[in-house]
Amino acid sequence: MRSLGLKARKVGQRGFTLPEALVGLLLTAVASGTIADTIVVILKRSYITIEVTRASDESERFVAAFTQAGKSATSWAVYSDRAAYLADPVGNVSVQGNVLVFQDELPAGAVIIEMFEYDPVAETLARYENSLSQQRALLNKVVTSTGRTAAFGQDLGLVQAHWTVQSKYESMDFEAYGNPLRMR
Amino acid sequence: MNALVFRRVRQVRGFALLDPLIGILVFATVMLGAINFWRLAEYKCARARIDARVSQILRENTDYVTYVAYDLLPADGAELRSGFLLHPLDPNTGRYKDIYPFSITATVTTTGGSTPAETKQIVLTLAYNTAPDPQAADNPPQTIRTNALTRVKG
Repeated sequence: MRSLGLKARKVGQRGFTLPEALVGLLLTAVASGTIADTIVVILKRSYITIEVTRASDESERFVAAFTQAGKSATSWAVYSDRAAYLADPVGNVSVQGNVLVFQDELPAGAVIIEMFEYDPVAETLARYENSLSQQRALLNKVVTSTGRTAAFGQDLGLVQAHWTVQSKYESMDFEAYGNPLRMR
Repeated sequence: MNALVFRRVRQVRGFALLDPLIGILVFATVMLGAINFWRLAEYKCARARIDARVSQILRENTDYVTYVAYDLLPADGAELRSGFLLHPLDPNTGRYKDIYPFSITATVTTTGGSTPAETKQIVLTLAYNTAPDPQAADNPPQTIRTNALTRVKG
């Protein structure tokens, strides 16, 4: 009975030949490779999106700080650069420049300085609080926006910032506006 | 002996017509699935960036209208800004591309004109062109209107 069963199997159901198995393996390999490549491309694309979103969020936080500082400030001024600000904070005020200083005053009389500084050489945009040695945020790969020569400017009471972040994957433009409530 | 030879010939026959057809169908299904999966992922990533950029542009222009001096508020129908939503890097040229054009216009309704109580209600409309779905071949216009923002002259 047992030998009869084996014989029937051998006669009616042979295995694959070598070429058939090879062709099958080849097709499986191509399909698997395609799926794997697709997943890799998708993961890479997701990674790029996450990186770009992270860079965008950093600038958005910068914008939020800018707007908030603008709202609470008692005064603000734009300077061409840090040296101009340090040399003469009153006399060197400019219409546009790469340094923006907000000044706020607590009820007790203490003065709070918040400074935004764009460094065109290092291509960084930094935010300082209280003193110029306390850096709170830093953006990298920053350039001035198209058509502008400086990061900060003022126009009839409206202080504004324009910058572009040039990441490895995308160029992103940002704008921020502020107007101290006490100056309106 | 003849019977044995005959049996072998039957065993080493080629594929039936149906066999390769099924194989091709399965293979095509896998490839199609992979391509559509990739296309959907690509679209989702692009969509996420577009939505973030749209929010950013609306926020920037709302800030502008909120903080700019009253006399410098845009006139009715004025275009506040135009450009492109995204600037992805083109790896072939090494330059940033401009994709998905947009423009933002202001609709301004003035009440109590030429009095200290004059107010302006400003609605911003962002019009932009993007692909509405992963398989879209064209970029039809889409619009977003903000809530009315009120500015008082006095």
